[in-house]
Amino acid sequence: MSNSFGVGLVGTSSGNLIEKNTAVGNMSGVRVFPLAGGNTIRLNIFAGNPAIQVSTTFGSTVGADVVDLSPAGSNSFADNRCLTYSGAGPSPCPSVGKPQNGEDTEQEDVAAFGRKRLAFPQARLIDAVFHGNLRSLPNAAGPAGYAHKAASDSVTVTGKVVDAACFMLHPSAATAASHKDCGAACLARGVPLAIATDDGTLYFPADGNQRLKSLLNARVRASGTVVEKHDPMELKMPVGDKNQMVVRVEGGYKQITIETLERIPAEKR
Amino acid sequence: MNQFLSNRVILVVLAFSAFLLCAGRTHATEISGTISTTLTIYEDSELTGDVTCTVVGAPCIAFGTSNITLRLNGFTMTGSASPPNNCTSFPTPFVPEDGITTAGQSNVAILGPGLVRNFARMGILLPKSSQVRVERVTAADNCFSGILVSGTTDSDIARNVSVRNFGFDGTACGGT
Repeated sequence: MSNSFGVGLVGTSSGNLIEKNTAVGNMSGVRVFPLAGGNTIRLNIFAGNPAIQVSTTFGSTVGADVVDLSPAGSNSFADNRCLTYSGAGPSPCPSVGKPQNGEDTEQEDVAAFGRKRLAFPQARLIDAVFHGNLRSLPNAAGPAGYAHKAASDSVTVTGKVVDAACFMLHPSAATAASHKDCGAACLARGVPLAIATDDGTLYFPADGNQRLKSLLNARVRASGTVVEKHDPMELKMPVGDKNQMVVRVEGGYKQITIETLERIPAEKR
Repeated sequence: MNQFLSNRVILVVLAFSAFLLCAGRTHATEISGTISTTLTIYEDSELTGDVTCTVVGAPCIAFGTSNITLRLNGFTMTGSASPPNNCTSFPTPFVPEDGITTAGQSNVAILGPGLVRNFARMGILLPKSSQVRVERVTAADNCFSGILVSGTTDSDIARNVSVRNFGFDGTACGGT
């Protein structure tokens, strides 16, 4: 009924970060339309949408603090303060936020590098170099990105969808709940996603993030052909005002051309 | 044949010049007072005083190029709507009387603090843009959305306040 939102994500809007905003007394606090995907909505306050005078008159279909018309999991909602929700679920509301604790500092840092994309041209480089003897990157060696060794037959890999850069920086924490915001922020910045298997092997999808972006942090089963890339790969992330971190993978990596992909429900894990 | 081509080139050049004049192009970096036709900015710009917009059927301020910043500097941009009065109707004619539009540009920023209010459609519209930063802006009492991200990618919308944005014709004016 309404198109009046505090913040609206319409059309094919993607990769946007909606963070630390306050939306009060609108028809909807935030409204995400069906084609919008890969957006991160976090640490906002959505309350009193619509105003009580409207909701009691027109009913709950008018709007809500959070209205998500996109398929479940297409966009990431994290730590928003909200009371009412309409969408495919699971509902992120009601939520009154987390207590103040040490995570705030981490969240500030994550948010900070996310907002400083405009400072990119002045960025200086800080290199974090990972060598091919990492367990997550076994036996790699070869030309950057495109050259490859022999392709294997179709294989099935099972693992968790992670942002590759964050995973390589702190793999032990990459699958923890506290890592979710980091992953979402990296995804919003275009950092490549990968499937991390239980033994730590990373499989980078050949067609980019498109198929995996709605599955960040989810456990998946993917089938397809795997090739080993051999040249170094660089994953670039903005950090702070003027810095850019380059995670350089030396020794190659595995790339999978996904043929089938399915989310593994929690009960099957 | 050559004569014909030469004439056509001249016509094109003249037409292009006329377009620039009509588009209201400006290089001014300081904005204040009344805006009666869409102000298109082509370089970093900032409000140096409150702005009253009387533009009819078009945005108040539009980005005309990429890689620039508009700073509101704590001032207020006020449109001519008073929701639910003077709002554009939905779905038609839905005229683009927005406060600020990024107009498809990329790597641009709208930085508060500042207030964008009383516009007949959106307070701030990000249509088909990329890498837009909107920070610390308050969007209030606009007829449709405070901030609308439409087909835009890789942008940060952070630390803004969006309040009481609706009231177009045909619905109740809630939140007031």
